[in-house]
Amino acid sequence: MPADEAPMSAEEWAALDAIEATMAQPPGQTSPTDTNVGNLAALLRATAPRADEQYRRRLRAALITAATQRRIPAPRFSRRQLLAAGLTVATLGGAALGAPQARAALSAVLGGGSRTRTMTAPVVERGTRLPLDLTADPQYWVGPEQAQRAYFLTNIYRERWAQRQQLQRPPQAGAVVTLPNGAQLPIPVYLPDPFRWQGITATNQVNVPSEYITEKNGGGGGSGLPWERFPTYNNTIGTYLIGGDPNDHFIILQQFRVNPDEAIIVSIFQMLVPTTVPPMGSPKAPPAAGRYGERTTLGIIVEPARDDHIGIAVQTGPGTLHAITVAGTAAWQFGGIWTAEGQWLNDGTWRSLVWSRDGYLYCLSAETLTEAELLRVAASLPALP
Amino acid sequence: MSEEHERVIVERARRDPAAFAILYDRYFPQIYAYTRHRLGNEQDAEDLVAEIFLNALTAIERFTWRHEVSCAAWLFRIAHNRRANFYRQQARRRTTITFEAANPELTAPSRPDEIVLHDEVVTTLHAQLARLSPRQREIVALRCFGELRNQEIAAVLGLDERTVAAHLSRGLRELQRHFRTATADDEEAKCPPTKHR
Repeated sequence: MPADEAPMSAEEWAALDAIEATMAQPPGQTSPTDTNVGNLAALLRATAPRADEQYRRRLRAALITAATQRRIPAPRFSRRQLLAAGLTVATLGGAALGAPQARAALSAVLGGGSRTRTMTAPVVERGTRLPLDLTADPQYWVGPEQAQRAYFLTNIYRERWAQRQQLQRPPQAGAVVTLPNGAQLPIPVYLPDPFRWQGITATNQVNVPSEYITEKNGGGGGSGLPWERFPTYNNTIGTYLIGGDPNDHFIILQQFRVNPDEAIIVSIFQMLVPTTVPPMGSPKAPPAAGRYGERTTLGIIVEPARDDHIGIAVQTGPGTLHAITVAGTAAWQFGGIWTAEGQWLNDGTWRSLVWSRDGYLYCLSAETLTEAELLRVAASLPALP
Repeated sequence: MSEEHERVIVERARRDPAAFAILYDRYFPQIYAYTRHRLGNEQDAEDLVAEIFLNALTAIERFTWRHEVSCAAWLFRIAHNRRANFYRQQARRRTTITFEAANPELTAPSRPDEIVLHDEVVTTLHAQLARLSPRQREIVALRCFGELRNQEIAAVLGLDERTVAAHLSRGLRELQRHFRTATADDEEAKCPPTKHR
């Protein structure tokens, strides 16, 4: 009989008892035992190799992204739908694990027309928009085709610098803010001078801490405009970190919780605040161009996705759209912004990055910042706990 | 985490990434500690741990409690198998074995927190682990670094639970003897006996 398979002696049983007694204690709280073998087991346990924390977090984020993408059914796009939406470009985002697949998906989609996609969020979709013909009822977007679409609108006023000076608790660089809606919003460590973070708001305004600037409590006047009311649609997926410089140039980080059950498109647009308020109850207000003037407002539309799109799409218009990496993560960069008239304005002012991390889709947009500066801001996002 | 709670989490993890993250948070330290000890090299360990969890993510849809003692045993069987594959791949890839690979416990620590832990005594202790038989060493590592119960170790290695218990007890007693001898030798080396005239 091999020695290892021989029956255990009394001493060996006693040693085993001591080992078990040691291991039964919670890790990190092992107290000395009355046997050397028990103490030896405790010493081994206490000196177990430990991982680098950054590595642990990076792997965690990559796995969550991989898990998220694996669980989203692959949407199918017909040639008709592709043509209707313009050229649709989609790719995986996020995780380093998915980056080669993302590039493969990009070349697959760019290389041909209609084909089955296996890649999903984050999605950057090129498309066309209807004019933002906002009616008195903010729940609907009435387009020329008379089709009503629910949309979700967040107004972020441009004139913010003065308000920030009154804030007691502006968002702190490098912090991770936990909002009452459960979202954890990382505040980038880097922000080029003289830009400053000014406030946080969310698609579900009720959940926003009052200390921060929101449309309701300090964004700067104009309350009572009919389209400023928040729709009853309780969309809690979006959180926005807003910053600016003394000239009220924007920088805005949008964070969307990636949920395979959601099928939405987000679009950033800028428009002018109307000087005249459309009459309440008017189903067909005058066209946007005739109603807006004087002050610029940045809005974010979150609307149900069209056709069989699944997940989140950030919609862009025609223009430059190229693959890039944010701290090694696959991402998209594009220039331009929607106007209220449904035009894609690409005058070199606005630049955006889209990528995913930690199970969230991020879209960082800014005026006047260079690509290098945007990338540096994006790369300085602290890891979520 | 109770066994019942773990069952719920595993069920959810099949479709909910957040639930998989809970399993990751629960088992990462043990999987990493075991893998790092067995490979010795930090970079290889990080690669392999990523591979283990990615493999688990892919395989969790096929996970059935009927065939598993616990989620921990399932994860460690993946770790054990992937490590074996890793050695096979390395054997094909490498023509020479580096000193580090051959003597992982003797390798200098690479990070400040490890430097604190890897004092002289700990370095000696871990080095002596390499003197145990491969099976004893594996079982001691799964118990003390992987925090597995004997029943789970038996499931991972395909052994009888009593065999695991015997290896564990004998392995640690053997380690104790080696450790005592090594530390006594060290003391002697530091304080050589004075010559009597």
